[in-house]
Parts: sequence; C-alpha cells; structure tokens
Amino acid sequence: MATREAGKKMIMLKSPDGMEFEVEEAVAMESQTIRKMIEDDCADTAILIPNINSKILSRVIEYCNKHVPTTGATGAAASDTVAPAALAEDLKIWDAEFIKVNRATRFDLIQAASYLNIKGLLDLTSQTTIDTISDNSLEEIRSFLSTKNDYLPEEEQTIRRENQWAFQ
Amino acid sequence: MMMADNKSMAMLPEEMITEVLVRLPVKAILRSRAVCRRWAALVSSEEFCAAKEAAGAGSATEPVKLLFLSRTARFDSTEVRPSDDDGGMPLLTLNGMRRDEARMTSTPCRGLTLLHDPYGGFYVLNAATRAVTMLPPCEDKILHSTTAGLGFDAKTKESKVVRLFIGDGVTPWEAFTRARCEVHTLGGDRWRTISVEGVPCKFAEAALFGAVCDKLAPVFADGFLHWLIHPKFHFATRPAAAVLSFSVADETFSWVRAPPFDWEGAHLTELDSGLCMVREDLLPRASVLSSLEIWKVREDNGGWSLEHRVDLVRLGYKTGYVLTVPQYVRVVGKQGKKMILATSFGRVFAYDLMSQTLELILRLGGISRYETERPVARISLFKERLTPVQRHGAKLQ
Repeated sequence: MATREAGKKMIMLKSPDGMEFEVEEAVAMESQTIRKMIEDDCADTAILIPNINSKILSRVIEYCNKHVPTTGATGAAASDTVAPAALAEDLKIWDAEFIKVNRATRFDLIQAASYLNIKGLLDLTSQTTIDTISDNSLEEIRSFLSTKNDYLPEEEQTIRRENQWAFQ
Repeated sequence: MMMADNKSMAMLPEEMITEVLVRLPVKAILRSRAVCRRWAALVSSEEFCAAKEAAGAGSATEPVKLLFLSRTARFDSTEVRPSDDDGGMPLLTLNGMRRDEARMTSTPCRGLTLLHDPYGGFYVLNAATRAVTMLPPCEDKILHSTTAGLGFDAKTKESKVVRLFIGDGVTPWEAFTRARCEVHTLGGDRWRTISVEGVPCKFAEAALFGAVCDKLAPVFADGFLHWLIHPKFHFATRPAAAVLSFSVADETFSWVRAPPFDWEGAHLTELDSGLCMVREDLLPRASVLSSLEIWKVREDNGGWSLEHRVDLVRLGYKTGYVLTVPQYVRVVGKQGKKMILATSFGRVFAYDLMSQTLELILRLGGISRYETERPVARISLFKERLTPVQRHGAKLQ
C-alpha cells in the first residue's frame, strides 16, 4: 500500500493478536457485519475483530480488496476496455488460487466469513466441503472432516434404508 | 498429514456447520444424516428446514426444474418424473393413483406438492426428499367434484390441505349447489369441516365449479388459498368479486374484488409471493391469442394493477414456436427471473422476463393435437426443500 488516494475514507481493523490493518471503507463494507457497525456509527476509531487472528484477517482483507466493486475513474476505464464476462472469469481464476489453502485455514476462513457475513467468501470457502460431502462416500467425508462415526451399525443401516435412493 | 491440518470440522460451532450444510443439495443433506449423530440432529431440525427454505427462496439462480406425472403400463399407477428425466427410474411410483386421472398442484408450497386422483384420494409429496404420505380418506367416495390446494400457516408452522367440494344436502338441489369445505392439517388423522360463511354462497359455488371444470388447483399466495370465481356461473351480472380466498391461518373465507376487465377465461397464479391474474388478450375479430396480461393484486387498496404483458405474436416470430392459435397458455409460476408457461400439446416453456426469450424445457408425451387435456394439472415446479410431508409416522414408497 504505497500511496493512498485522497478523499477515500479509511477504516482501521484490529485483530485480537494486536495487528492493525488500515483498509478503505468500501473494502471493509464488503462485510455486512462491519457495514452495520459503520452505519450505526460504532466505528469512530478502530474496529476490533474478535476471534479472527491476523493471518486469517489479512487473507479476508485480500479477498475483499479483490471483490470490492470497482467504481470511480479507474473502475470506469477498466470496464470500458475489458468485457464484464472476462472480468468475472479473471475473478474466478483468482478465487481458485485464493482457496488453495490447507483444511485448517479453510475452516478458519469459513468461520471468519460467517462472523463477518461476507456471502461471496462463505460460498467460496464452503464449496470444497460441499463438493466433498456431495460426491464422496461416508467414510471419506468423515476422514475429511475428522469426525467420528458415533452410530451403532444397526442405526446407520436404518438411516440408509430410510432414504436409500440418496445413497446410490 | 501435516500437523497444521488436523483441525476438525467438529470444532466449528453449530451455526457454521449449518452455513455449510444448508448449501448442499437435498440428496447430500439426506446422506449427511449418516455421518454422525450431531449432524443428523442438526439437519432434521425445524430451524435447519427453515434455513434451507430461506436459502432457496433467496437465490435467483436456482435452476428451473419441473416434475411431471407420467403414465405407466398399469391403469392404476402413476409415476412422478423430473424434467431432466433420462428415462431411468422415476422419482417415485404411486400405486393406486389412476394414470389418466392423476393431477397435482403446479406450484409447490415450501417444497410440498399435493397430488389427487378422484378415485384414489390425496397424497402429499416432497419431490426433493422423495417422501410421500397419503391423506386420510374423505367421506364422499367419489372426489370428482373436488378442488384442493396446499397452504402454509406461518403462525403455527403447519401445512394444511384445503378442499372445496359438493356435499350431500337434504334436498338434491342443496346437494348440487351447496359448496362445502374441509381442512386437513398435515400430521393429523382426519379432515375437519369448515363452514363456508362470511362470503355469499354463490361465490364459493362459482369458484368450485370453475376449478372442477378447468381442473385447476387453487393458488397459494400470501397466506391465502385463492380460487377464481367463474364470472358466468349463475350470475346475471358480473359478480363483485373475482377471487375466493381462504386464510390458511384463520380458516375463514373472504374475497378479492373484481378487476377492471371481464375475466372469463383468465386464470390465477403466484408471482413473487403475490397473487396475480393472467388475462388472455385476443386479436380483434379473430379467436387468436395476441398477448398475456399479468395483473397483480395491490397490497395497499386490494385493487388490480398491470404488471407484465407478454406479446405472444412477437414471441412467436422470434422463436418459431406458435403460441397464438387456439391455444392455451398458462402461467405456472416463476423461478428466478423466469416465468414458466404451460401450453397446448404438452409443451412447457421458461420465459425470461428480462431478455424476453423463450426456452422449451419440457414436452409431455401422450398429448395429441386434438386432445383437450390441459397439461398444467400434470406438471409442477421442483424446489429443493426439506419440509417433511407429515410430523410423524411411516413413509409410503
């Protein structure tokens, strides 16, 4: 962040481990939670984001920076030369790169996206989990999620029988 | 496995697991019940079902998918198939439901569809979970003169089936004209009689006869089930009301005032959770359809205002589909930005309101050019919902 354009309001976000991030208001308002705080005038100085460490928060800000709708002079110029479809395609590729993280980070991102209420990020971070649950066997799902099977064999059979078509 | 990667989904709080699971297709949700007890309890809860409903209703991108009733080799059995049918196994087969008589409501109420056969009785189906339940038998054995719909009571969170029918009167005249009403709450064990009072009895009779003649189910919108009052059924002049409405929560009848045009041949539909009337506009001096007008009931004063006009002549030129010759075009409902139109010869189209383009999404077999059968009674929109078909009890497959 070398230069800052004049006239843009900046917001300070603080993570619980003491790091501070200065971001444009428009970027911070990608989060519905922060938007509400700003609109309710609870954001005079810095906003403390509980539960989200600096490592995850910086990634979330990176995502919001990329996804904030481009407006103003530079934004208009960009959309004149590049078709919206191409922009959307670029964003998709960027998203795919962004989400190449380990499972623990992804769960942290899900948690952050949920707390900060950023719909796009929540959709993106949930997608791998959703794909895994949709396409894989129960054993694979359990190992992916590190969840234990706490059913008795008969009980699991009953559940499978009740909706047999869903297990085929 | 890396040490940093050993965090488990089980450590996530309940709301966040909900956030993820609610985005799953229904089939995967049903499977995920077998993952562990915690998940089973979560996805079976009423809150989760409501969250799924909200997630689906909010998404404009939900793909257009339909169900249709398909004839089987046996006369007393009917199949339910999805519109992206690959000719494989049907979603389910209903034995005891006559293939030529079966009909269903075309817009699901929170994912539930009501099926009905004059001889076999009533079934409620959730096509996404493939759960189906048969409702208790009705006292009148032949249900030919019945019109029924499914509604949701937002106060008690109950789904109710409401039917209007011709009852046995003391005199034959009474039997023929007196419309009666019964309500069944899903999960209950009987039908309850509701008095058809508070509205002129002619309204109820005209609504019943119109619905039975046109094989049309009532439309559920805004907490009410709505029947069109047939403007010519034993009225000397145009009736003051065009719609008979039944409040699913209060279980009382009321009516909606007449629109500023003659509504003979019109039909009702629900668009964006408001009640609409679709009026067919004919070309002057010809019995050819020129356009469809969609009028919506205004919330402020109960009057009608024109919402959309679909130019069928222009649409025909643009797409090559003939929609104007003695045709029948019914607005089934809306999915995202697309309006679903059921037309003659068993064709069903998705009409994009923004781009004004038409896409053929389903062609029902077995309906010939000369047949008068109206395909709308055999199709339904498909919604990915988890709403149970009853509270407790065994499922019927």
